[in-house]
Amino acid sequence: MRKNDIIKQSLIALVVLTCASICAIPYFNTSSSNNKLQLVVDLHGYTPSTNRTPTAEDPEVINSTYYIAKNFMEENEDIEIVWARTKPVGGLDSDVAQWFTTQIAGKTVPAIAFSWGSRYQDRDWYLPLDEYLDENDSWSYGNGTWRSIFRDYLWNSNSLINAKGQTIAIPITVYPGSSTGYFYNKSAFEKANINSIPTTWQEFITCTEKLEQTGYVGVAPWLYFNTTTTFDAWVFQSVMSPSYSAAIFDQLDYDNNGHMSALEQARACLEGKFSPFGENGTLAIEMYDNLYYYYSKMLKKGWASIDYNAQWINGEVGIREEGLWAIPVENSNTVRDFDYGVFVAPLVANDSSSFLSEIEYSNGPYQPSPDLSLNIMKAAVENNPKMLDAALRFLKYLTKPENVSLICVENGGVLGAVKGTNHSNIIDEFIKNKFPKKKDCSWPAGFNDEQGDKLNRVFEQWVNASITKEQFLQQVDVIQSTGAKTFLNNMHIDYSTWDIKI
Amino acid sequence: MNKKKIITILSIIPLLLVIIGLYVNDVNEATKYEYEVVAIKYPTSEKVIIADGLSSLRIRMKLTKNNEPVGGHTINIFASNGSLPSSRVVTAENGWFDFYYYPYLYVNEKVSPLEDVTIYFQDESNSKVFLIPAKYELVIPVKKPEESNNKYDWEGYEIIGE
Repeated sequence: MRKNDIIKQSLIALVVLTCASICAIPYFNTSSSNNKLQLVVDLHGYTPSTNRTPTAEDPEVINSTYYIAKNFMEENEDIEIVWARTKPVGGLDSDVAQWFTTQIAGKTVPAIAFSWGSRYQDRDWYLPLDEYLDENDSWSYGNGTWRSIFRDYLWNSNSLINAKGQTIAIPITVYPGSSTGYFYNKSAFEKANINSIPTTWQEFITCTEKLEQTGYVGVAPWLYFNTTTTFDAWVFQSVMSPSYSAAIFDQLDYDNNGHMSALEQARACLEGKFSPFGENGTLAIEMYDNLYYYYSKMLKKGWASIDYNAQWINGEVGIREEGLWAIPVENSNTVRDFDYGVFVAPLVANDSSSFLSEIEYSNGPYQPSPDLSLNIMKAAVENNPKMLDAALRFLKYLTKPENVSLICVENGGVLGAVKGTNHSNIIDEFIKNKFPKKKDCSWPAGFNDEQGDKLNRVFEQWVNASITKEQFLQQVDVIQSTGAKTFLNNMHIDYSTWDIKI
Repeated sequence: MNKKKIITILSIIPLLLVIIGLYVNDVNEATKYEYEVVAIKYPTSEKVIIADGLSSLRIRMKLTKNNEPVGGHTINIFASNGSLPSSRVVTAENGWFDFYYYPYLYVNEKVSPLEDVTIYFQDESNSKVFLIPAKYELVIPVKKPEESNNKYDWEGYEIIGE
């Protein structure tokens, strides 16, 4: 054999060997992965970013959950955490519900997932967690039960407990007193001769009127995600619902335990407590009228298509609805040439309604609601004890106080759901304020996606004068009762003995 | 090569030269800017960041061009770790700009390793055509917090005005 042929054949062999090695890499990886249990986790907005180091183009990185998971995997070598990155984070309820439905059908649903706590409880997606929370010595990193490490008030939250009284979500972070607020233009307030921030809904109305008279947009609604939802939006959730449901709290709290459960809300609905034609009819109509007034009188006509962001930056808006998570972004707004402040959504009080009392305040956030709370998805762990064990181990690890602190400090705008946790200095001053004490109850908004959507549409029709107030009120009862019955049926709850009125 | 092609090439070359010239000019322009640390207010007498998630630093910088203060420029700021309540600031007439830095939380070496923090600055306003920001990196050493991390638990806070 000639020397050239030997070299040629050696080179061919080398190329073949290299190609074969490259092709084999995925199989080596697979076999190594196969030795580990792959735990798919969805932390929604807290999922680690793909880049570890911030850049000018992409300054926001999420490292805390990345390092927590990395450390967990080092300590638990049998588990590999895989992040669920296909979820439509930022999507509406219906988008997220569709994503979960697809994942469950395709058997790819994350074992640990975020779905706003109990939002989809009537679809039977969540694993009840009480036995794991309450087992003796269930807290792997100290004494006592796993449940005992969390702030006690949280275990009355309807977003963690379902209508059957089962715990179906584990809280990680809570909002800093409230999730949303009103950002206001300080120079607009000065020019409109407004000397203090409004503390009741009536003061808020007066404030917006003064701003309008001075030439400003009185109040700009939140329009992120291009949502133009009318009924079940922030004014209903933060102002009307807590104010008016609190006024009839004694009728809603059937077991007198100081909290209205999802079951009690459904019962009260069917027994006509929220009905405009029931015993609390005048109060219910007042609430709907207030909401109608906001959309038809306080907001500008065609509000859904107005670019309020540009108007805010130009200093033309007096007050705007915003999430408290927008504070860092607002601080970085170098175009705005006025100072801004933030106040908590004011409740309706006795200065405008004979049904309501004076607002009580707490020192600091009053039982703030969960922000990040995680479910274990039944479809991922049923008949798979190893997956369930892995999910519980990671959830417990995630809720170690130091890990929750790490998440809170990095996020900047949230507080820890676990006792003894730290938070960022960004919200330190804000949480030293007084917050309205809200009773643990709410006004229903359709009970499920379908009826909630109907409620939004009929309310919009009333606002747009396509239907009359009477027609709206008639339809409200039908929608709320249909939603409540569907919800109870889906939850397999017997309500035959209740005093059904609608 | 026909006449038409020659004309096309000859018309492209000056255009390319203009683009290259503008790019070189922006690169050259960026090198004329300088950042200077005017003052850093540390939480303690030690000139370090305390990685407790709360002890903020107030930093005052100055932007100059050929030793003259530069006002009205927007500076983009980001940090290798920790957070900034405001990530864009505008320089004052004397070239100064102030911002706060909030530290990250040290938990342990595995989850949040103790590493010096680099704060990056980029001038968004110095370029004329291409985005060639004048850059600067400020490195500040970090120290472990001495007290326990639950010192600042929000449920035990004293309230403003109480």
